[in-house]
Formats: sequence, C-alpha cells, structure tokens
Amino acid sequence: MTVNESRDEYAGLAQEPAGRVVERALRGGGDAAELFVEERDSLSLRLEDGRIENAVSGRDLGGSVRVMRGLSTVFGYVDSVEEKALLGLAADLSRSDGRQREVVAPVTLQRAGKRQRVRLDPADVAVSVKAGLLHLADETARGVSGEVRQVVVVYGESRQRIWVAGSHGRLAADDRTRVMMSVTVMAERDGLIQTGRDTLAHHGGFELLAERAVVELARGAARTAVTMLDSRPAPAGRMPVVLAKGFGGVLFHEACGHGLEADYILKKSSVWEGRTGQRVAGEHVFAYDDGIGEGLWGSCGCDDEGTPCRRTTLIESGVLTSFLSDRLRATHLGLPLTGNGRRQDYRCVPYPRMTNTYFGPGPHTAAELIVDTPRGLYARSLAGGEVNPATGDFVFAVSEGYLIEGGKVTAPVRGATLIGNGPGVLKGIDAIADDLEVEAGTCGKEGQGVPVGTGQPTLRIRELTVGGTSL
Amino acid sequence: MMSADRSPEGKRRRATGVPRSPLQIARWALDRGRRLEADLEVYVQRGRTVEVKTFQGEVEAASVAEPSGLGVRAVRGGRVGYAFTADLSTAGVDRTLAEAVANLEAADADPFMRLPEPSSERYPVPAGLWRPGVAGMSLEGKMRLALEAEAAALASPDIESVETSVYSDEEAGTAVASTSGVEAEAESSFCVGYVVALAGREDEKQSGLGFCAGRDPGDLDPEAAGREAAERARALLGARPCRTGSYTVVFDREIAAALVTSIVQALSADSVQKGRSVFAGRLGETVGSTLLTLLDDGLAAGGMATSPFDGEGVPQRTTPLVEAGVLLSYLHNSYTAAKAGDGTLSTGNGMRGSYRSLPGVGATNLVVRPGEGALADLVARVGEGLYVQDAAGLHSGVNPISGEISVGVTGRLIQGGGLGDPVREVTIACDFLKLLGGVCDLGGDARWIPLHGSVQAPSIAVRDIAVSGSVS
Repeated sequence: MTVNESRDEYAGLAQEPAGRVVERALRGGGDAAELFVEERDSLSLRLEDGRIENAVSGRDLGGSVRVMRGLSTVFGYVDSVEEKALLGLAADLSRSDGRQREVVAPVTLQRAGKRQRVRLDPADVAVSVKAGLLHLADETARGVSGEVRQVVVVYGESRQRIWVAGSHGRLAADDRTRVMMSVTVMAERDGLIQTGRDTLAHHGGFELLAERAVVELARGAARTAVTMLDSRPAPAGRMPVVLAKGFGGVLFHEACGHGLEADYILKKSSVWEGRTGQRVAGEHVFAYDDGIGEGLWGSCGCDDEGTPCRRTTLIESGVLTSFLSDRLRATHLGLPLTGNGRRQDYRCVPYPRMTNTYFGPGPHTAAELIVDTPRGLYARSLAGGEVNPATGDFVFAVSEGYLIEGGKVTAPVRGATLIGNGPGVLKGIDAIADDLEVEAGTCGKEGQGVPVGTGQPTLRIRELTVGGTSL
Repeated sequence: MMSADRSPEGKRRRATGVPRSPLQIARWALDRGRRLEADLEVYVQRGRTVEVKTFQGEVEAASVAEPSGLGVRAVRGGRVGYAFTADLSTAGVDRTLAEAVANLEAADADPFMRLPEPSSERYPVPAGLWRPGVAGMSLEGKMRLALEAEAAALASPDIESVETSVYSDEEAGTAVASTSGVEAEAESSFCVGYVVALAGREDEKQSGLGFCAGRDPGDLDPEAAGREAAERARALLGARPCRTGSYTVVFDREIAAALVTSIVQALSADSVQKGRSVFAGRLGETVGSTLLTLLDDGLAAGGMATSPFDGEGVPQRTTPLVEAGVLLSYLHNSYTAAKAGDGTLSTGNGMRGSYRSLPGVGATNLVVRPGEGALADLVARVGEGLYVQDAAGLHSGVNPISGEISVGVTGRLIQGGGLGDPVREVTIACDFLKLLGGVCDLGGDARWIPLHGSVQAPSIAVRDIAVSGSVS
C-alpha cells in the first residue's frame, strides 16, 4: 500500500490492503477499528523588512490506526504508508479482550462528499509569482502612511490528501487544497505602537490571490494599524456591543460552538448539555455549522473519519437543535453523524470539531444597529478568544474597536477584551443585520489546530463587559 | 504495545542501511547533500511518546508513537531555504535536500544570513536530562498514574467530575550537523501529568487545573496534582464579578509564568531589530520595578528547556535579561547577533518548535528571582486587592508588539489580608511596561511551570491594574 500518483481518487489507499490493516487491528477484539492515511505537501513564504526571509516546504506522509472498545481508544501512528508498517502498527495496537471478532466486513468504496473546486492549482504557479505578491502587499501597506514601520506578509499553501477505512466497511477519501495570505502591519507614532492584521484564506486554489485582492488586504491591515494610532484606552464596564460582520463570528464559536461539541456533551462538561429543544436565544437567532460552504476555510468533502460533511442547523428560531458529533460520541450518545470528526493530521486522534460556524442574517442593516445604539462599543475586528466549556465563560480580544456615542461610531479605542457567559450572551443578542460574512481562522483544542471558518452578520448584544483600562 | 525492536519503521531503516542515531542520520543526510551548491544544516529529531487519558476511572485513550523527522536549512549568498520531512528514506531525504536548495531561490538575500560556525567552547553537560523511567515504566504503570490523579481529584470535597486526567511523556533525541562543522547531539526525557477537575454546586460549575512534571515518572506526584485541581475548582464556587476599579493584583505562579513568557517575546532581538518591540532602544534603561530580576537560563536544573545546545547547535547558557529593573540584554540567535554587530554573540536562543521549522529567537527557561513567604504571606502583605488564579484569552488578549494586555480572569478578592470572595467574569487590562513597573512584591513560592514555555515563577503582586467587572 503506497500513496501513488493516483490514477483515480482511491488509488492512494487500495481497498484490499486497507481491509487487511483494519482486520489485523481488530483481531484482538474491540468494537471498531480505523485506518487513516495522509499525504500533505505544504509551502510557505514569509516577508518582513521588505525581504522574503525564507521559503519553507514540507511533506507529511503517514498513517494511524485506532481501535475502540466501549469509550476506550488505543491509538498509534507511523511515519510511513507502506502496508508492512501499517500492519505492524495494527498488530501492536491489537490487544486481546477474549472477545475475538472473526469477521470484518470488506472495505467498500464510499461515495465521496462534494469536493471544493480548485481553479488554479498552487503547485502550478511559479514561486516567483508568489514572491511578487508578497512584495506587492508590502509596498501597498507601506504606501498607506509614513507611520507604517513594519510589514509582515505570510503566504501558505497546502494540499492534503486523506484516506479513511473503517471496520464499518467503508473507505472514503478527500483531497483538500488551501491557500492563505496574511498581512500584519505595525504603525508607530511618538513611541505608541499599534498593529493591524488581515487574512485572506480559502479552501481552493491560487485564484484567491488576484492582485486586486492582495492590494485590498494590505490596505485594510495598514489602515487599521494607522487608525489605531489615534485610539484612546478602551472603556471598562458593562455596555451594549455591536460586533461587525465576519470574524465577529468568533463570538458564536467561543460562546456556544465549543459547548455543542459532543465530547463535552458526553462528559457532561458543557453548559449546553441536555438543552436541545430549549429556547436559548431570541426567535430571530439562527446558527449553523456548515462543512460544505463553497470555498470556506473549514469546508471539506468528508471529515477525518470519512463521514461526508454537511450543513447542520444548530439554533433555529432561537431553539437549540443539534450537537456536533464524531463517530465515537455519536454512537454512545445516539446522535446523528454530523461530519465533525476532525483531526490536525495523522498523528492525532479525531475529536468533534466545528467546521464553519455562523449566525444567519437578520432583517436590519449594520447602519441601523449603530444608529439605534446611544452609547456602546463597536468591535470592528476581533483577534480571537477562548472559552471554558464547563462554565460557559468566554473572552475575546478586540483588535479594532470604536466608541458608539449618540448613535454614531466615533473614537477608536485600544486594548479591549470582551467577557461574558455563553448562555447569557446568546439571550442578549437583540438585533441582527443582513450582511453575513465568513472568515478564516485556526481553532485549537486538545493540542490540535484545525482550519475553521467563523462568521456572522453585524449584530448587537444588549450588554457585555468590556475590559479596558479607562475606568 | 510498540517496542523499538518491533517497530516496522526500524526494520525498514535497517533493511535500507540507514543509520539510527539522530547524529548519524544528520551526518548521513549532510553527506548526501555534499553535491548541492549551498551551505547546509540538518536538524534531526527522533523520539518515543506515550499519552494516556482517563475518564471516570477508565482509560479513555492511550496512544503510542515514535515520531521522527528532519529539517534542512540551505544558505547561499545570504538567501535561506528550508524543507522538512517525516520520511527518512533515502528518497525522502534526497527530495528534502533538493527542495531546501530550490526554496532559497525564492528568498531575498540578507548579508547577515549565514550558518553559525562551531562554537570555540565545549558544549555544557547539564545533568539528568535523560532519566530511565520514561522508557522503563510499563504502559500500565503510566495508566495508573493518570488514574491516581483522577481518583485524588474525585475524592476531594465538592468535585462532581474530572473532565480529563492526562499522563504524557516523551523521550527525544535531537542532533544538528552542518557543512560549517557544527555537530551536536543530545537525549532527554520528559513527563507531565495534568488534571482538570469540575466542582459543582446546584447549577454552577467551576473548573481547576493541577499538574506535575519531571524527567522521570517516579518524580511525579499525581495525587497532589489531583488535589490541586480540585482545590482550585472548589475555590471558585459562588464566584461573581467584582466591582470595576483599580486593584493591586496578586498573580498566581501559573499566570505570572504565562505573562512573563508573553513579555519576553518582546525581548527577542528579532522583534527589537524589526521594530516589533516596546523594549527597542532601551538597553541599560530602567524598564521595571527594582524588585524585578529575570534571567533566561538555558542550563537551569529543573528547567524543561535545558539542553546543551539550541536549535542551530549553539551552546545554551545563562543570560541576565532584567536586573533590579534594568534591561541588560535581548535574546539572540546567530542571525540577530550578526545583524546587531559590535561583537554580539548568539545567546543560544535559536529555538525551534520542531524539525518542521527554522530556528527563530525564543526563550529557554525563564527564571524570576523570588521574594519571600508563601502565597498566604504575600496576600497578607498586600492586604486588599485581587488574587488572579486563572486567566483566559492569553493567546489573543496579549499583543506582544504593542505590549497591551487585556484578558479574562478568575480568582478571589483579597480582603483584610486574606483570600475572600471568589471572582469570575472580569477582565484585567495593563501593558508590559506598566506591569513590570508596578511589581510591588513577590512570594518566595517559586515553582517550575511547564505550561506556557518553561518558567520558574513565584506569585507576583502588581499595583494599579485596571479590573473591569460589575458596575462601579
């Protein structure tokens, strides 16, 4: 079994050897076994100080086997995709429980989920073209203002091919190409340093990085950094908060999404456990996990257990409707498979993870939400956050914020963190605009990073604690 | 489970005649690259890892692996290219060497970029980096450690469940070899146990973390880690936001360690040289309270980052960073040292995340000089304020470039010289210079914290921190 230049999409993991590995893994007993094989090629370029500092390429090639018995998992991996190595691994992991399983169903091909379209394979684009775009971003950002002191541009591309065979009898495959560019700009005035950062990323090919898109990205990051030089310290205290479209969706991700992941549900360590069918937000609130959204960063054909990805409604008219499952937790909780069994790479055990999550659009415009807010904070851009699923307490950092005074966006403010409690904040969403956007991020959990989309339309929370320094 | 002799990978390696020790692999790869027109540096990691997770008295997951890989840095005319692979076959290594050289074409030239020369000093020999217990203890023994930690937490008052109890360890061999003549190799072992306990009362849940770490599983005290997790969770039951205002804050050792790690990112010479640091141009100036002394100690006994050499084969050493509030040094790798000029030498801080990355600039072990007394004594001296037990959002709420800090915290009010009402859903906000300048007292309770970098930190009191909570 080797990963070949494929004649067809399943050539990477031939059915018969995959079946032999799964069968070998279960020979000592167990409820289920799985073989995961991955081949990933990646390239990144980094520019700083106006120079491409380095180009880094890498190849990951390996396979892992897991054997499950009840809620207990035994896992291992090898940096190899040869049948002999994988059979050896399967034999090592197979431990007798005295309940010998005689027969494993033969592994049959599973219809693949829909793949994302790649119009221009990044591997077909010369590295000099990529380097040229990094320089373009650098020059554009520096051109915005003489106060720009430093620009860091990072380009990344990867192609990850995976094959999953399970004792449930099916073999699935996926082929994922992702391209990203991020621009971080530092501006300085009289010793005050401020930063702006923007990222463009999708599941798809190099077509993402048209010159115009790169210029817009660099300008956006530079404008944020320069604007924040005029900022005053953020206020401290409780007030209405308007979260702008796009990465503001990290609110849903932290305040609710993690707590819907079925591993926390199974362990009863989520504040959302036992709450499906209950009203958790106003009737105007809808939320989704969308693993098939066209070109979205967290989209895939199938998850890392071979389950086809799909769009799952999580909140419908304010009522909690679903959790996010992987195969192990779905089996034990009696939940449907939602295609959320994800892992960073073949070195990792899959967990229930979000794909792309977002709130659905509402009837208002973003401008209406601002006009209707006498005093508060407008969070135009967020830097990321963190939640404790057991308590529901979350925080996220505002990277570009403004005061709202008399229904108008006024002075920029810096150094604000928003803090709240998941169930409380969902109930506090009192208005949603119509401008849904989904942006790219990386979600960390159990030491594994996976690509996710987070999004939302502009929305308002009636009251949230803003943690600034201006008392 | 898996043993070295049964490793299918090992069989393959012997069959194709590829050598086994990290340094032998590095030399072999370097030799295969001799025909390429570039200076080359090969970094090799080979290890064995075990991780055990338990839940409700059962082993939830056990994983065992023997990760290995290699990275190649190619330098020619001031340009650098890098490639890595986990495939140590002849074909895999040849492709990686060729890719590294091809990648340097994409980079722009930098006059200071060259591979470090071999050090004139001998490599230090820190004692006890490798201990036999990690390899010697059976998987069942390691499972028992995780189960004992879980049981200790569950046996504590008010604990409803244990979210997870983890034991994990690693034995790693690393080597660096370069065409400049650098050759270095080291072996180490490391193990850690940690527990997240959930305390509950009516509808409320609070969580707490406890941990233990060492170089041999025999050094670990899983029961103490379990009790620590339980105690920290329980202490927060009934927590509410405190009033918005300015407080003297006592940072628990773990949070002090995390903040020190964040601040030291701005002491990287790379950040300083590229204008990404609030400490740029401030060598010799006062940047903190006279109570504050901070070292980067690459050879500290008990430090998890202790090693004879850094990620580019430069000897690790001790570098005073801040002495009684005065900034004495930045952290350098060979590139930033060459760029700084004036005879500046690498401080042995050319750190790598793994074989997958180029050596950047990073701290080894950070050591904060402690003050006196236990946490209770420090709290008594502070009198009134806020004790911060845990923080959330450290990766997003601390900006290492602007130096701004704004994070969510949980803890307890300090009232009348003792720990009082538990607090949650509040934030603290500050910046690097105000934080260092505001240090007004330190405990004598320093402990090695391997959670965010490797830091030996005591509890630290800082005055005038903005706390945002309930209506003031």
